[in-house]
Amino acid sequence: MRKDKGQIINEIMVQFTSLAENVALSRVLTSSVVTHWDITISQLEDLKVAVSEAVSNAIIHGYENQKDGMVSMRFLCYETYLLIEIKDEGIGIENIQQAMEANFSSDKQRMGLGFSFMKMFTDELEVTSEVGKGTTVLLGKKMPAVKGKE
Amino acid sequence: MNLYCLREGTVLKVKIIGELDMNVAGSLKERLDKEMNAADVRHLIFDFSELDFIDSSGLGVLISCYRQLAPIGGSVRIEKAKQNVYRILELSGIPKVMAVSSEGGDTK
Ligand SMILES: Nc1ncnc2c1ncn2[C@@H]1O[C@H](COP(=O)(O)OP(=O)(O)OP(=O)(O)O)[C@@H](O)[C@H]1O
Ligand SMILES: [Mg+2]
Repeated sequence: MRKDKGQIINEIMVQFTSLAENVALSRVLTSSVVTHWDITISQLEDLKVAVSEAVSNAIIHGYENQKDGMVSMRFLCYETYLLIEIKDEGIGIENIQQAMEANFSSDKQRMGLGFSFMKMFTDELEVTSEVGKGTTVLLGKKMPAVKGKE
Repeated sequence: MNLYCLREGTVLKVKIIGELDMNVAGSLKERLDKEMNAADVRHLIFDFSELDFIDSSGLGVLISCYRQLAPIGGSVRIEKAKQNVYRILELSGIPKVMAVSSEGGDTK
């Protein structure tokens, strides 16, 4: 996914404990990073949902709600593209294809909407995972050219 | 998240202020269960006029309320959802099982 995106102009990496309250932090970070571009509020809202889903999954499923895991978030900013990597070192996903199917959930209380929202609200979505090692989700989103630079 | 509940007979009106994500989904459900158990609540009406964010964890709470009330002839209704919240509700398919209206009055 990193190919053809040009040069990285800014890279931001943050790590936080797998606490539920940090999901809000992940959204605030995202809002703050995208101020670099001139995107619409509704595009930002979409991206916040995608990030919220990925970070929630890391905590809920990856770490099974245990509060001693670390979630890492990396923002790779290109001229007109943003890549957000969300990574946990939790239980991993055995069958990624099945996990990403709409309405699939390993928890009957949940609706299995997370990956669907991630797909809908990004231009690219890549999931890599290894059972017992953890999961990495890459969210890619096209960004407009920065004003005065085009 | 802040929560205001008002009970009128079998109707429970709930106003949620702030953001509804996994951090607050659990305590919201607990509070709703408590309110619903304390009286013969059949119908839930959510006022989303001051709800700024919702994701799948929040939607999960709405669906679980629906699953609880539907078998006893009850209902769940969502009113005054902001545009971004309304969009998520629409995309989730929730309007198929509960009445949803936006702050502008759009109805699904
Ligand atoms: N980081 C992760 N680590 C381990 N398993 C995961 C991870 N992310 C997703 N999964 C698995 O993929 C499934 C589908 O995820 P998805 O977010 O689409 O639905 P959900 O989280 O189960 O429900 P919802 O997002 O609607 O609350 C999960 O039920 C879980 O089994
Ligand atoms: Mg999920």
